[in-house]
Amino acid sequence: MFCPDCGKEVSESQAFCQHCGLKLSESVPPEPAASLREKTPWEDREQLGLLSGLLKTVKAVLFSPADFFKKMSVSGGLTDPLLFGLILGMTGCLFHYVWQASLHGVTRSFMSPEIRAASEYSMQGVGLAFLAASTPFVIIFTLFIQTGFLHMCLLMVRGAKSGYEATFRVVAYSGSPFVLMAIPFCGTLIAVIWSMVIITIGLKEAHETTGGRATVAVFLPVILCCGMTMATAVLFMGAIAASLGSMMHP
Amino acid sequence: MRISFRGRHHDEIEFGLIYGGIAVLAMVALRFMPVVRLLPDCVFRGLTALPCPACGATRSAFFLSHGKWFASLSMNPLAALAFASICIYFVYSLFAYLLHFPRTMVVFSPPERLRVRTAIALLVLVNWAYLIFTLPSSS
Repeated sequence: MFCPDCGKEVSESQAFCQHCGLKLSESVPPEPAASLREKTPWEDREQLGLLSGLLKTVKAVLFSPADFFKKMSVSGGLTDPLLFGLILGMTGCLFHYVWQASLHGVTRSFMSPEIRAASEYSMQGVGLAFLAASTPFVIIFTLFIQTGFLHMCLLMVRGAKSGYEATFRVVAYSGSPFVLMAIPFCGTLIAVIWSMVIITIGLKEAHETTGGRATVAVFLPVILCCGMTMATAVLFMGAIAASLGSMMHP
Repeated sequence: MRISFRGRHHDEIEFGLIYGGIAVLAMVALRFMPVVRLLPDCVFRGLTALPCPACGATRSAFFLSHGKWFASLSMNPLAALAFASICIYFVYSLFAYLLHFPRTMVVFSPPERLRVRTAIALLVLVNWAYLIFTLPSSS
């Protein structure tokens, strides 16, 4: 037989392991390692409640991301994480629009003429309605585009061990810092930076890869595509606002 | 490398439909809406005065959406080929999903995967070199 503690061969008649001293008569064979991954509080919202599940997930991602992603299940469908990402994204956008409308006089001097015009028309009547209607789609497209870029970069550095779904879940749940967009002026910047840090930690834990590979995977799209991911996100919103602007002032 | 065909699995994620659909929508937006005016400047170019590996990609997609294939290629060849490929793949995925075509599966051995990664990295670098030598640098 083998000692359950040090793994060395021992005689069955021995009461103690002669290598590590473990008492063999009372030792219990090690249980098979159970899966450490489980549903997130958000995915378990039927038991916990909608708001409780949401808040617990946000809190866990913000303040203990390593533990959260270590335990997060890497399978189970895209719907739940997509819904979470959408809710947090909409929340962040809502705060952003409120601050943009309230502080427009302060921020307009930093905008280019085209963006200023689009911003002004998007805050009025029909423009606002179009913006509200298009925002969920922009958030969903951004989630998929960001996941696609990240997963491709992770594959390039041989860090993708858990599949596309794991990457998507990490990206979706790392939208938790978007609640910080409630802070005026610097909230968006804090949210974006914190989100990138959480994505790095999340990819490391979800794919069980090294921190170095996760970091390279996160920063490679930024280096390769710099403004492109942002450009895609503003594509639809800017397009609609600009077209409304040109319609109202031909 | 092994190419095989298989039926669609029950919970399979339709990457072709998702990403192809996004690419097609982007093409439609670029074709009919004045989006290019609103795009932010390239941060990499602003800092280094050199085009980034993706510089010209949006203009490439813009020209592609207007049917100007050679202009699209001249802006960013890799981006032009990627956009065109994704749009074609969207059409294939749509037909495969609706008409239950078998799916093409390509499996690489570990040495082949390394060669594919190396080839992709080289393609990106060659494309970047082309952009550096052909696109005007910022002052």
